Amino acid sequence: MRPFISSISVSISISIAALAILAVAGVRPAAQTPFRTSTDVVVIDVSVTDGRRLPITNLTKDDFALKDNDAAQQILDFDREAMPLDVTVTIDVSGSMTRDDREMVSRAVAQVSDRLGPADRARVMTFATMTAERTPLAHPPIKVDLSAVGPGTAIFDALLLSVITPPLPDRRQCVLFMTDGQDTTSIFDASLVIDTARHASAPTTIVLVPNRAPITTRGLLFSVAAQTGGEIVELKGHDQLSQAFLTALENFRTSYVLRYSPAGVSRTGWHDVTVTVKNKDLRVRARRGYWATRPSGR
Amino acid sequence: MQARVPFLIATLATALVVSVGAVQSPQNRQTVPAVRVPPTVERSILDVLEAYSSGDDLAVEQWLATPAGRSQARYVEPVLAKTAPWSRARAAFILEVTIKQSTRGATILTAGRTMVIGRPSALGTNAAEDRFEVLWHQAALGLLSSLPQVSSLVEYINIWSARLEDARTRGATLGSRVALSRAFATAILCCWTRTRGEVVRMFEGPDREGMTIESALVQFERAAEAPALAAEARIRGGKLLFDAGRKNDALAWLERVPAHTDPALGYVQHLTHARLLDPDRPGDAATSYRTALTFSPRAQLAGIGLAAALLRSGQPEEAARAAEDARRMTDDVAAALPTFNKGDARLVPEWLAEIRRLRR
Repeated sequence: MRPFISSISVSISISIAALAILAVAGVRPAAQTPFRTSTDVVVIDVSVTDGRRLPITNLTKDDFALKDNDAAQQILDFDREAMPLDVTVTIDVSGSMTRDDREMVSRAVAQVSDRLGPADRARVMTFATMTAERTPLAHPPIKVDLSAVGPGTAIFDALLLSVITPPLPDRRQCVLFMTDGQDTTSIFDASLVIDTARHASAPTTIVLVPNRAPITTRGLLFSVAAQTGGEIVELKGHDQLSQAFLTALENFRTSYVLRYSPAGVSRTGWHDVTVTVKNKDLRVRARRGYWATRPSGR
Repeated sequence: MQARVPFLIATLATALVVSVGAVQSPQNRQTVPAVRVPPTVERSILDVLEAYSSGDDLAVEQWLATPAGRSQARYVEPVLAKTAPWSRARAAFILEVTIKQSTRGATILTAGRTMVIGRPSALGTNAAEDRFEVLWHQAALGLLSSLPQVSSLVEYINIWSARLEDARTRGATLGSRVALSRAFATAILCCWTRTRGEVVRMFEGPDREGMTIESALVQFERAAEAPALAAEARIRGGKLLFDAGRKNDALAWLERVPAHTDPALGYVQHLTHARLLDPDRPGDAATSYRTALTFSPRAQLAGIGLAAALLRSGQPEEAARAAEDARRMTDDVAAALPTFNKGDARLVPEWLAEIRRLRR
C-alpha cells in the first residue's frame, strides 16, 4: 500500500465500473471477450482491494455475488479487462493553487501519461470559475501547461462536466479529479452533482490537496465519488499527488469487469446494484446502480 | 464587442471602487476645500476637453493612458468647476473620465451629476437635453450598480427620482429605468452579499435597512408596469426568488416574462428556468438549457447543465455530445451571471455611445 495516502473508504465497500446498458446485438467487442448476447447486458467495473488499498487480482468469478434491486444475478462474463482506457484528468487551477501545487500537478500528469498504453487515451481539463479542456482526448504522450491561474473556484461545476463521459462499449473510462476543495463560484449545487453522478459511467477518484477543503465540502465530494464507485484520496504532502493518480489508475486498470443480463427485475427505472466477495475482509467498490432505460424526464 | 463588455464593466467597477463612499450630495461638496490647479495642468485638461468636444472619442482614453494624464486627472473636477458650468460635451467628458479614471471616479461622478442637474433648461422642456440627461444618470446608476456598497446607488436613485417627480408635477413624464434601479438596489439590500462585485450570495442575516424580499418584489412588480422594463423586472424578480429557494414563486415570475430579444437577459432567464426544473424534470430542464444556449451559444454553464440534464433523463449519448461541446465553451460568456448581477452596468457602453453622439 501507499501508507502516506489516507483513503476515505466508501461506506458501501463497492467500486466503480463503467456501467453501460447495452442494447447489444453485436455491439460487444468480440476481441476482448467471447461474450455475446442479444439481450440487454449490464457491465460493472469492480475494484477489490485489501486493507492497505492494494488491488487483489487473483479472484475468480465464483468469488463474486451480484444483486440487482435485491435480486441475485448470474454473472455471465468475467475478466480483468483488457480494453483500453480513457482517462479524464481535471485539475484545479484557481488562485488558491500555489505555483508549487501546479508544478506538482504537471509532474503528476506527465507520470500518468507515461503509464498509459499506446491504445489508451487521456484528456486534461482545468478549472477555476470556468472549466477548460487543455488537452483533448488523445493518445499519449499527454502534456499540459498549467502556468495560468484563474479567479474563483467552481468545483461542482467542473465535477459535473467531468463525470459525463460517453458510454463507449469498447473502452473503459475513469476520472481523476484534483482540487483543494474550496468552492467559491459554483452555480450547480452538490445535490445535483451527486444525482448526476448516479447516472455516470466512469469511476471518479477525487484527490484533495491537504488541509484546505472544508469538512462539508469533503463530505459532498465523498458522496459524488461513492456514487460512481470511486473514492476520495486526501494527500498528506505535496509530493504525493503523482502516486495518488498512479494508484488510482492502476487500481482501475486491474479492476474486474462483470457482465450480467438482468433477471427477475423491472426493465426500466433505477436499479440498485450491490457487489460482494466471499472474503469479507476485502473492500469492494462499484457503482451503486444504473438507469435501465430512458425515463421520460418529464 | 460582446466579448469586451464584461471587461469594460470590470474596468468600470475598478474605476469606482476606491472612492465610492464619496458620492456626495451638492451640500457636501461645499465642504471640499478649494484645490490649487497648476496652470500647465489646467491647460492640458482643457486641451483634452477641447479635443473630446470636437469629436475625438478617444481623447480621454489616450490622455489617461499616459503617466501625465493619470496624475492630472485628479484636477478635472476643480478645473471644470471654475469654468463655464454646463455643456453636454463637458458632462460627457466627466462621464468618460469617471469610467477611465481609477482613483477619483465617484468624486468626479458627483461633480458631473451636479453639472447635469444644473443645466439651464428645466427637465422636460428640451427633448435633446432631456435625453442626454436621462442617459447620463442611467450611466451613472449603471456604474454605481456594479459596486459592493449599495448606499451610493440608493442615494443617487433618490436624487434622480426626486428630479423626475418634480418634472412630472410640471406635466413632463420622462421614460427612465429608475424604478428598476430601485428594485435592484432593494434586492441587494434585502438579500445579497457581494464579494468584490463578482459573486452574490443570498444574505443570511437580519433585514438590512428594513428591506425584505417582499419589498424588493413589490418594486420589481412596479417596475414591470413599464413595458420597456417588464421583461427585466420579471427576470430579476424570478432570479431573486430562485436564489431565495422559493422555486414555485420563481417559476410563476419567470412564466410571466414578456417576449424580448435581449441576449443577456434571455440567457439568465432560461438558465434560471432550467435550474428550477432540473432536480425533478430533467427533460424539461434540458429544453430550457437549450433555449438559454440560443441566447448565448458559448455559455458554458448552460452547456454543462444541458449535458447533466440529458444524462439524468436517460440520454447518455446526447449527454456526452453536449459535454464535449461544453468543454470547448471557453469564452468569457461565463461572466454572464456576474454581469447580470451588476445591474445596469452592462448597458453603460451602449449608453456611452449615445452620449457621445449627443454631446456635440
